[in-house]
Amino acid sequence: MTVPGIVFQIAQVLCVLSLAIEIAVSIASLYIMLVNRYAERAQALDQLFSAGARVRTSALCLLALLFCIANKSSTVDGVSILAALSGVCRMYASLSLCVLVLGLLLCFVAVFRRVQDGIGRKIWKSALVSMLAGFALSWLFAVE
Amino acid sequence: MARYRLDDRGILTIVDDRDGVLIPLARAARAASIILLCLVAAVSVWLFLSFYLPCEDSNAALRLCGERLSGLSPWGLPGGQLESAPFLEEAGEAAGALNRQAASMGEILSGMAEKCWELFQRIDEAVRAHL
Repeated sequence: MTVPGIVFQIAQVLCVLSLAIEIAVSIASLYIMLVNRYAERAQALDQLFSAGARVRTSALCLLALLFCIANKSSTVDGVSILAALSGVCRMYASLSLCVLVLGLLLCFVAVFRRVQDGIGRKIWKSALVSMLAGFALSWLFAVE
Repeated sequence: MARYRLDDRGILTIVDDRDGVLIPLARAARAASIILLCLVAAVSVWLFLSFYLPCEDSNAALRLCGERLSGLSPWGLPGGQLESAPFLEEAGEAAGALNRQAASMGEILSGMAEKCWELFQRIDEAVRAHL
């Protein structure tokens, strides 16, 4: 396997890890909000979600490296790197939709439970940006 | 919540100031993610500057993106199955010394990534089916 291949595999794992953390934190926030112990744990949930976002940034860093490699004449075909990048971005954008829905649900629950909402707004905004950026990059990198 | 004990004299003592598993987990995740981000950024810059910067520019990716942005390709998201990584099999004998050293680590990673990838492909298909 080539170095770009390994970088791509690590980026894939980080993308999956980031999504898993974000979805887990959203579900946990929803549960904690419903059992009425949210105020005590809001900061910890916020920190966990930020950790997931940082993992996503790490994956993005590796994808940026792959894009730079695709512009160089090496043993690896730049077009095939672009096709792979497009696939990862599309997968991330599709699954960010789940996080977006969970974030919106959290906002609604916070309104009905009269809890001061902090994380719900952060989750849906972050997921919306991820989704739009993911679909845009997927389109940009798509090779026909 | 931290745990307290009220003794016979009415003095309240903190028995355990840990607030369940969530707060230590959040602190650990925060530290780990910061370290990971710094490590990934440093390794990315090092890899590019050391091994790829001296290579000749082909600008293949930039050219394709430019064509797409300039409107030569029609608007539309790519459909069908998620792409695998077709460039993973292309190293062959042409791979350099660094690639050969990285091969064993790559096999372990690819096994892990493939399992995660299959799982998320199924979820992705399920999500797309409901859109």
